[in-house]
This record gives sequence, structure tokens and C-alpha cells, in this order.
Amino acid sequence: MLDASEVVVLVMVVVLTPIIITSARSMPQMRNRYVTMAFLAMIVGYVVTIIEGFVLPDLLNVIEHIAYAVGGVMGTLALLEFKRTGAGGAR
Amino acid sequence: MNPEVFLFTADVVALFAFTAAFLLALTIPMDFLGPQYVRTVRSFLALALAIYVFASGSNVLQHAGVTAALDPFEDYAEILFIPFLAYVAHVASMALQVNDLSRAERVLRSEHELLTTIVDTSPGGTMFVASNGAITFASDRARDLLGLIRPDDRSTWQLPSSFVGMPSFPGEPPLHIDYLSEGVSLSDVGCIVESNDTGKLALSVSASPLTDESGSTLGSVVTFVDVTEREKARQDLLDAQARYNLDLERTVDERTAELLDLNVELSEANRAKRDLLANVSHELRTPLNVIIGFTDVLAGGLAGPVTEEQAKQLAMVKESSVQLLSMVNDLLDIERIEAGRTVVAAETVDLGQAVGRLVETMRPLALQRALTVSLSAPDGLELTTDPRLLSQIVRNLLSNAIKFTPPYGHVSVTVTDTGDGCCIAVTDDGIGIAAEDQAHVFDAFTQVHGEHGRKPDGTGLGLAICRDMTALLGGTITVTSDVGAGATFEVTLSRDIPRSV
Repeated sequence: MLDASEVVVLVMVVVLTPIIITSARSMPQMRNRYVTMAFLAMIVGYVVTIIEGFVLPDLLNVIEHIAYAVGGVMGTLALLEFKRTGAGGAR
Repeated sequence: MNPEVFLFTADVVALFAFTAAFLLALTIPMDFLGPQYVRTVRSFLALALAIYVFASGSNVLQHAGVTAALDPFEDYAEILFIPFLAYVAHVASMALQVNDLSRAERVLRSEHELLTTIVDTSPGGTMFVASNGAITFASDRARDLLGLIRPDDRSTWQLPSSFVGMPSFPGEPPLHIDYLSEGVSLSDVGCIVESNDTGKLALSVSASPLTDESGSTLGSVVTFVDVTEREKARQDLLDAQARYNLDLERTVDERTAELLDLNVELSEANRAKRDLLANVSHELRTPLNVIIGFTDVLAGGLAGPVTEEQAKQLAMVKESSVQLLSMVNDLLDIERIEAGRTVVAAETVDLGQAVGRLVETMRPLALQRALTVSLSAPDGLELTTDPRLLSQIVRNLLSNAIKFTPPYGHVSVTVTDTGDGCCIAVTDDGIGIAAEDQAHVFDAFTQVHGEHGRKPDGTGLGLAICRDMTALLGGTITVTSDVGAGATFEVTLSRDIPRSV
């Protein structure tokens, strides 16, 4: 079942991702593999959320939650890297 | 495995991860963003992470069966995550750019202040003349030196209406704004400027064109230094030099006139001396000849018998008279040479015979001093010369050799054919001449001291006469000698008397 809020999130992702990528590219501090992986994991989560409304609801729901968990872990690692290097380090 | 276990596990991991990330976002240093942006970025990043702390927490509570009441809010909260994240990224990016711009501005301001300080403390003036002729920048010194004025309604400077800029030297460009606005390159060009405010100043002007990235001329950066004092000092120096030159020329003229007068006086004195010498010498010769003649008469007994003692004293009278006559003749000879009255009568002379006769004439004198005289001369060596002068030269040299050679010594005369002339060498083994005396031995009235420092007989004119007469014959005379080892005088003559003589 497709939820309206999920569609709005997807629209937000589609509209704002270019802004996020453009801004991140202009900052050397953001060129961190954990940041990239975290962002991709969150995108995967959003996309899977939409798809699960049509096919394989149970499997894709599990994947969605795992993607959010991966996004959280990668985000944490990215911030730890920031803290360790002062301006990001793992490239 | 039950999917609920996966979901529960994933949500628990997400809850802990996002909670940790949330806490880190609140504490990690973000100094590179600048203090004014750190709070915004940190707040919105924490809010974004808090959304998923809330979402994952809600899921955990739901899976744990505690409550599902938060689930309806979860979806709406998630809508804000991406906008928050985008805002964080945008603000952080903007903060970095602002920081870079601020840093660049600080550097630019610092450099501007440095340049301004340099320009303002420079002893020279600096200004920029734009291509439209406007003076858009002028340092304090430039304003003072040129008397620049700025109208109230303008941001540019202007030269005063009374300003005149002239080149210091012909051909150099004047300090014209129209000329400088073309973007010119000048290096230490002299210029005289004058205005009512500054008076008259001498400037040394340099300029460099300024162009934009496309190469278009923007104008000229002009620098100038006040060299009025230097130019004034230079002008004073030139004036002093000119005055000094005038004084020097005047002094030289005066000294030249004095020298000319003195020269005339000296010439007259010299002529009077020569006349006196000639007259006295001439007047002395006649009585001397009379004395010598009557001494011979008396010694010969024509005027009556003379005793042995009287004969001895008459011989002494005659010897002294002959010496005196010789000295008088030397004086007359040197006077004639100096006056240019000596006549050179050239004729062909057999040199061997001529020198041989002279040697025989002098041999009795040598025998009186117990000296031997030898002659070596080739047969048939003919020369075109004045026999009278040649005889006097050889006679003087022989006389000197005999005079300065101790008893039982030897005097040799050697005549050699040099191809284009001849060489007559008179060598003795007498006392010799010191090296320092050889340079003066041919000077008139100069005599080298003889044995035991004794001054020899004679006037000291013999060698001077030899030198002058040899020159009249177009030849040269030299001396080589060592003290105690005798001396050799060599007279070198050409086959003919040169035309120049």
C-alpha cells in the first residue's frame, strides 16, 4: 500500500539530492566514504519503502529497516571520522 | 528465521547508531565552518539525526509490543530528514565559501594597508592616471608635490590650473596628463613642474603602463621624486666649474704672457751672453797667439841667449798659454754651434787616413804620459762628411782618453765599416765613468772627477762639442764604461750626411 508521506519523502529526495551533492562536492570535508555510504543507504531505504507497496512487502520492509540501520552506522562512523581528523579523513 | 527478528534487530541497531550520531553531532568540532555558522549546522544536523532516533525508537517500541502510538508521526517526521540534511549541506558549503572570502578579504586588506603604508612613507609621489585622463589615485606626497586638488563632487584628482610640466632636457616628454593616460613607460625622466602652490620643482619621473587581462591599457602608474636640491647642487657645481675654468683660462693666459715676456728676456740675455763670450774669446785669442809667438821667439834665443831656468819658465808660459787658447777655442766652438753658425762643409774623406793622421798628431802627447796608442782602421773606407768637424770630434775623444788614462796605459782607436756607415771607437783603460755620471757626461761644463776625486783640467766642453758636432754630421755618440775598467766612446756616422741635417 503506497503511503502519501512516503511519496513526499521520495519527491524530497529527488528534488534535494542534487543540492546536497553539489554542496558536498564544494566541501573537501564532506568527501568521506562513510558519508557517501550513509547517504546511499538512506536513499536505498526510501526507494525500497516505495517499492514494498507493490511487490515483496515483507522482504523489502526488512531491507528498508536494514538500510536505515546501515545508514545510521555509516553516519556514526562518518562523524567519528570527523571527530578524529577534525575535518574528515577517510576518503 | 522470523522477519520480525530482523526488523527488531535492525531497528535496535539503527536506534543506537542514530543516537550515537546525534550525540556526536552535538559535540564534534566544526571550527572550519566559522563560529557564526557552527550553531546552525550543528543544530540542523542534530535535528536530522534526531528524526531517525525517533523513527527507529518508535519502531523498536512497536516491535517490542510496548506501543504503536508513535508510528503515525514517524512518517511525517521522516519527511523532514532530507530537507534538513540539504539545509545543513548548503549552509556548510556557504560557510566555507564565506570563510574563504573573508580570509581573502583579510589578506587583501592587509596587503592594501602594506602597500598604502609603503606608498605614503615613500619619499617620492605615486599616482595613477587612467586612460580617460583622470587621476584616480594619488599618494599624499604626490598631492603635495604636484599640488593636486579634488573637486567636492569628484572622486578623482586634478592638476591645478596653474600647473606647467616641462621637460628638463630637449627631446624628453613633458609631464602631460594626456600623454601619461596612454599607458607610457618612462624611467627617470627629468621634468620641471611649476604651480602657484608648489613653486618650481625638478622631478625625476618614472612610469609603467597598466593593462587589464585582455591587454587593454588602463593607464599609467606614475612615480616621481623631488630632485630639486640635487639639480640645484648640480647646477651650482656646473656654475662653479665654469667659473673655475674661466679663472683657470685667465691664469693660464697671464702665465703664458709672463712666460713669453720671460722668454724674450732670456733670449736677449742668452744672445748678450753669446755675444760677450764670442767677443771676449775672440779678443783673448789674439793676445794669446802673440804670447805664444813671442814665447817661442824668446825660447828660440832670437832675442838673445836664455838661461836654462829661463827656458824652463818660458816653456811653462807657453804650455799655459796653449791650454788657455784651447779653452778659448772650445768656448768659441760651442757658442758657434748653439748659435747655429757652424758651417758643415761635406767632402769625401778616407776615414782610415784621416783618423791615422790625428792619432799621429796626438801620439807625442800620449808619449809624454807614457801611454801607448794603437789604431785599427780598414783601408779605403770613404765617407762624405766634414773633415774639420770629424777631426775635432776624434781629437777631443783622444785628448780625453789620454787625459784620464794613468801612465803606462793604452789607448786604442778602432774604425769599423758598418755597411751603411762607420763606427769610430776610442777606448782607454783609464779610471772609467760611473753609471750615474754617464747620463751627464755629454752635458756642457760637466766634468767627471778624476783619480782621488780631483777635478781634471779643461772647461768640460769637450764631450758636449763632440755630441753637438756628431749631431751636425747626422751621427750619434755613445759611451760604455765601468769604473776602473776604462771607457769606450763610439761615434757612429752614415756614409753621407743626411738631408735633414
